[in-house]
Amino acid sequence: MDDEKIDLSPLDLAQDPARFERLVARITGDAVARRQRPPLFAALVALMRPALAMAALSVAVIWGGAWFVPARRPSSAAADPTQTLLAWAASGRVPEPGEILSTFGGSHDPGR
Amino acid sequence: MAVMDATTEELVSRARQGDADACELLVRRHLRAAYAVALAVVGSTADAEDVAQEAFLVAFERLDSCREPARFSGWLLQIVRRRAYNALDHRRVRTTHAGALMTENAERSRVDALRQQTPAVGRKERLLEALGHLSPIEREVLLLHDLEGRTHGEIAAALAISEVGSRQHLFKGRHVLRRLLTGESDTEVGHG
Repeated sequence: MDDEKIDLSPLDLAQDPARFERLVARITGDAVARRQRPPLFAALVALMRPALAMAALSVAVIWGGAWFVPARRPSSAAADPTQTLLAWAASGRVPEPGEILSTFGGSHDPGR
Repeated sequence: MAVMDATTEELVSRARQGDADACELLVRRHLRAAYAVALAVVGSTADAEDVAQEAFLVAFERLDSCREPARFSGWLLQIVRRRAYNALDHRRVRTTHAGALMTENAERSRVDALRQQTPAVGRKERLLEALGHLSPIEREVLLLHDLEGRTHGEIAAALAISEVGSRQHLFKGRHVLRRLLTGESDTEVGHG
């Protein structure tokens, strides 16, 4: 008796072909869209790429600009650092750190 | 090779590359089984459609993680089951334990009404009502076997049970369903 199949055809999705086709089309459309959509990480990388390029360009412009602008020297610095160095050597005096920095183009903040 | 003749393994491979025809054919071949499993769990045709659709979308999103493309069906049905049970849990929360309010008398009268084949109730609704009295695994096996035409081997693989277990669930499910549908002679078809 229970070896016989029970007719469950009223529950069959394919009983309504139009409904079945609509469902197939809906699932397929969404599925293909999802398959073709890049993964989240790849999407983020794709978005980040122009931003990184812009940042690199900005850094290059800033550094390049700084390179071509002549370094300002303090007015107290000697015209020729070599002469100053020789003068210190001849006098035997140990120069102050501030003097060394100002001679070679650096800055010194004694308060720090 | 034409897509129509492609094996499941080939279709999965093509679908992974975004081939729309392969995706469609996979849906066509496996939608009824997905729907049957979803229906067995959620018990409502509309909810079963939603679950089947969501499960397919999840499956296509995770297609690269399907280790054995030849066993796509079993892999998909596992996703369907998980989605269906999640949907059932959400529905239980929404209905605020409506099932618990159902008294034993009300349940008995439901079964009586079913047996009397109230004319206002359609055949599809009577089947759904009767299926509601089976355990989830009995419903899954019964629907996959008698509705979807799956073999016990396929059902066992899809539901992670033994073939013997599948036969037992089918036997018991049919027995209970026939008892509930007694008198509805047109539900029995001798497909063997």
